[in-house]
Amino acid sequence: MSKAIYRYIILIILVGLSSGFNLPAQGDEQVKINPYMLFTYLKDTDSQRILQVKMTHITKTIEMPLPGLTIQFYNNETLLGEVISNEAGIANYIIEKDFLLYAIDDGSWPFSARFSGDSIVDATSGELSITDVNLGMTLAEEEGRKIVTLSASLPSAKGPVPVSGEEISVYIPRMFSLLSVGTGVLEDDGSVQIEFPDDLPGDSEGNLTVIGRFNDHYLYGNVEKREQMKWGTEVKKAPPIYRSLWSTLAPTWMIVTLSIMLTGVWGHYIFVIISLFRIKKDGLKNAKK
Amino acid sequence: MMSANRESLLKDLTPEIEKTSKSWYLVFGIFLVMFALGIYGLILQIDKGHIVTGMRDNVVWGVYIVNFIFFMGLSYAGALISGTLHLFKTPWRAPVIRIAELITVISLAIGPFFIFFCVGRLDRLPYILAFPRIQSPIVWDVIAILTDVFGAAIFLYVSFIEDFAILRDTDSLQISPWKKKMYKILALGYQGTEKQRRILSFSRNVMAAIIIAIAIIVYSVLAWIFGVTLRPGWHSTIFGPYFVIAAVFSGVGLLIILMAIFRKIYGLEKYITLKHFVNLGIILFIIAAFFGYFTFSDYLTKWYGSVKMDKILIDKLFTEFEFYFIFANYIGILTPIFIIAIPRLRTIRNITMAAVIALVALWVNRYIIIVPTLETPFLPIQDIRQDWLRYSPTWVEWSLTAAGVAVFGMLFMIISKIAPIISISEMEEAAEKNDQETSNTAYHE
Amino acid sequence: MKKKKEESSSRRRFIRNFGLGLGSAAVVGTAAIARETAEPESGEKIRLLSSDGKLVEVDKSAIKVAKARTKEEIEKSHKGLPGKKFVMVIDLAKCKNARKCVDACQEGHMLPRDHEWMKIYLMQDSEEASKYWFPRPCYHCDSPLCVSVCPVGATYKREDGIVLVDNKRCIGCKFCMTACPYSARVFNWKDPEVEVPKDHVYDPELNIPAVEGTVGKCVFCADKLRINELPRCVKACPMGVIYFGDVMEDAVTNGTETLRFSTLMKDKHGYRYMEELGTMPNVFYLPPVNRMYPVESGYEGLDQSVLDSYHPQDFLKDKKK
Repeated sequence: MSKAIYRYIILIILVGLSSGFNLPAQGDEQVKINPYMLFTYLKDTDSQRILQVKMTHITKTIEMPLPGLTIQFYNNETLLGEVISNEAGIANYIIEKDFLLYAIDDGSWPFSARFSGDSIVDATSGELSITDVNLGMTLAEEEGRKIVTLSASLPSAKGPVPVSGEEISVYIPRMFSLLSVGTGVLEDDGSVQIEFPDDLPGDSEGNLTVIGRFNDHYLYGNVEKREQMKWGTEVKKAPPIYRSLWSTLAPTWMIVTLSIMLTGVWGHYIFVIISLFRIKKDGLKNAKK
Repeated sequence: MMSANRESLLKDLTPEIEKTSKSWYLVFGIFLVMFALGIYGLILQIDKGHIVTGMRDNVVWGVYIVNFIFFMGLSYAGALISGTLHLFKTPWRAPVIRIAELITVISLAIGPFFIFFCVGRLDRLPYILAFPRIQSPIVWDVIAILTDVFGAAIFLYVSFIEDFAILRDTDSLQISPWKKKMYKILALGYQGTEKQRRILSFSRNVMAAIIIAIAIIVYSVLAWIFGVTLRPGWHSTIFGPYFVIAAVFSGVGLLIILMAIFRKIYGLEKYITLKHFVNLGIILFIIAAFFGYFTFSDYLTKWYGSVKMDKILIDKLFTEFEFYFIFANYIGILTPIFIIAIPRLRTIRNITMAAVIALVALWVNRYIIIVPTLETPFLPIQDIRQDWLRYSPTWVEWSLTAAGVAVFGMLFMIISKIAPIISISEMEEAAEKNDQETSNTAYHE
Repeated sequence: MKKKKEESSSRRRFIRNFGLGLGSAAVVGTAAIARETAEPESGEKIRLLSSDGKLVEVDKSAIKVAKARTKEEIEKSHKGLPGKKFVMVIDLAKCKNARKCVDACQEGHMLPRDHEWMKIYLMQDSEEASKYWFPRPCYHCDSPLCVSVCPVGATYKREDGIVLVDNKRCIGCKFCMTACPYSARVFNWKDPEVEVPKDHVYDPELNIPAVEGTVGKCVFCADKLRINELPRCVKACPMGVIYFGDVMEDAVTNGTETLRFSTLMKDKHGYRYMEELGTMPNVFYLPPVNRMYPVESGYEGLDQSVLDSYHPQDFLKDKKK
């Protein structure tokens, strides 16, 4: 899809609006939208490194996504690539697997995302500084308890250097967000064991995705490892209520009572109407006589 | 002798059928103007939306629903009274039974229109018949009203057949030929033969019995529209019987008033006598006592208990609605009781006055059942707009109320031009019985 | 009437139409397909955005497809999201009557200022207890009285627990409004005069536009739930007062923090308002203890008319003593 689509969406609406109300007088500045950029880094479960930008416009009450904006991703001053924000205002740039990123002295990568502005939206930019970390997760059951072992290490020329003293948590994905189910602090050897609770609802067979994650870490950004396990409780859908006061079908006793009463009453009506016809018939018979 | 009787009866009871007097046109004209005003209000309401009424988000049911309940109450009362009088073969029923039957049918024709005025989307009214949910009390009410309309129509028609036959056969009146033809069709070839009499009498008894049962059930269903909600003041277990008693009360009152009116304008003093007024007055007295008993019982149990919402409601009734409450539940009940209890006060004028007070008091009684409850929801009303805090009906609602009364009057007037207001056949029967009794007593002396 | 400081109406309209513009792109795709079917051309043209980003003129008969889509939308809204049961938790200890939830709801559903699907009451349970702010959306009860009494089935409860109103079916009898004990429904007494884009398809989950003579109420932003987004009031609250989630998953979130629903209920004693009525609401409250803000902070920055509405008894014209 070309970026033309989204430009057109914005343009059409503006055109439509300008025909509906007074245009500002000559000399007035056309006020541009001031965007809000949320710039984050994610290293996902396949060790893919993703730079994520979400462009929104925040009014008094609602956060509106801004589609169709070209976001440029930089590592130091090297342009990594350009992505156009989609309908949700999100632009994700996936750094190629073996791409050598430029690091500064302390070993961290400087990233920046820039939007150079156009006729409708103001320019904005964001910056990040990420230290690469390798995260490993193993899931095991010991003595009936579910244990998540997380280990983190910094890659270096001399081999992996364990990370210690940092907080890391175990999450499960829920409908709108991630739910934290356990937290631990990495010990000197770079690993920690976190107990996974027994009573978390999974799907109908008890499947869950267990996520070990550095969430919004000041050094590492977002780093996660995911694995599917049967560690949740089975959640069966409740059987639907077919007959009740508030469902489409009425309770049986209501239907039965109503039918009995109506047949009773209307039966009498029909009887009387038939009687009237008999009167008429009798009248005709007498008239003939 | 019979034909002489019939001659005099016909002469007295059918003046309107023959010719129309100037005053008829005048009164009809006034009613027509009221009706037109109501139609104007209705058009305004359809055009601008229900914002022109006084109803707002808390008091969503107002004068329209009060009128609906009021007119339906009159209708069922008419059905109950005429059915009971017929089944029990009450000796003095002849002059009044026809009026009672007419009240049944005419009120039934007017009542449902007030529901239509209250509904937000008139264009979607057929949806009730297309997508009914039988768990809803409104659908119960629609089914009940349709059943009742049909039943009341059959009942009224069956009682008219003999009169139509008399009118078809008579030569002493000057009736226009189209009317004659109409009578001939409507009389169904009734000649008064043994077999036909039997069938007719049996049918009338069946319909009378069914109409009584229907009237009670249908009005209870109406009461349950309020009773099944949880609101204080409505969530009362005696609402079914309470509404039925209230309906009969208003119906008897209206019957007395109409009797007095027809007696005056048609010069029927010979047929509708003080005896009828006193008898109906005594019925009014008894019903008033029952009604007072039900009202007292309902409010006593609310007032005595300490439930917060009941207390707020009772407080509201005794402050904001003080005058209405006293008028409806004290004056409206005690005046008829007082007037009829004391023999010296039993004049036609007094009894009619008592009936008028009773009728108006009942309308106010419906109003203070519906509106104060809606003004006291569980979550307090936090608003500053007057019309959201307190309900006050606008001229649109009053004009449509007046139009309803006008249509009531107009329909009665139109029917009086087609059929006698007092049943000729019943009067004949009554006179026969009377003659028989006097000749019997003469024989025995 | 409550007045709102009018921000530039141009910006407001832009945002409003923008949000709807995204939905209309989907309809246009269908209109483009409809052009391929042999429909008799009415000759009247309408400008629309086609699926490949061009402004095109389409014959008006193609718009008929939109009407069929309304029926689809209504059927879809009856089914709901399978396997889920939505619940809301409102933390009364944190609410300071910022009213952002009210504003977001009205903005998102294009409501007039006096239609508050989410309404904030100033409550005081007894003389000795303190006052507190009480946001009240529709409770989407499990035993809904409003659904039971609807004569035409215009309001219905679906599998995921949400109670919706179908504005195309509602006859405006207002029985549901008398039956609801929580005064959660509002009525459109006059034409709400809402401008929607020409090709907008009515959908009970978003419930735009409001129709004169019908009933409206909070819909738990069912349209947002379909795309896994939180309802508008939940996202707008600056204090994080409103938590929302799926009770089958045992998790609720207010946009910032996610908690286990069962733990929240247990630790903070979640309760339902007027539990004894037996309607089984799906909105739970956390008691107003250890308040984050004093009650009076809820009076700040409000219009006088809003402030006055909290003690209406002073405004009754015929105040009797």
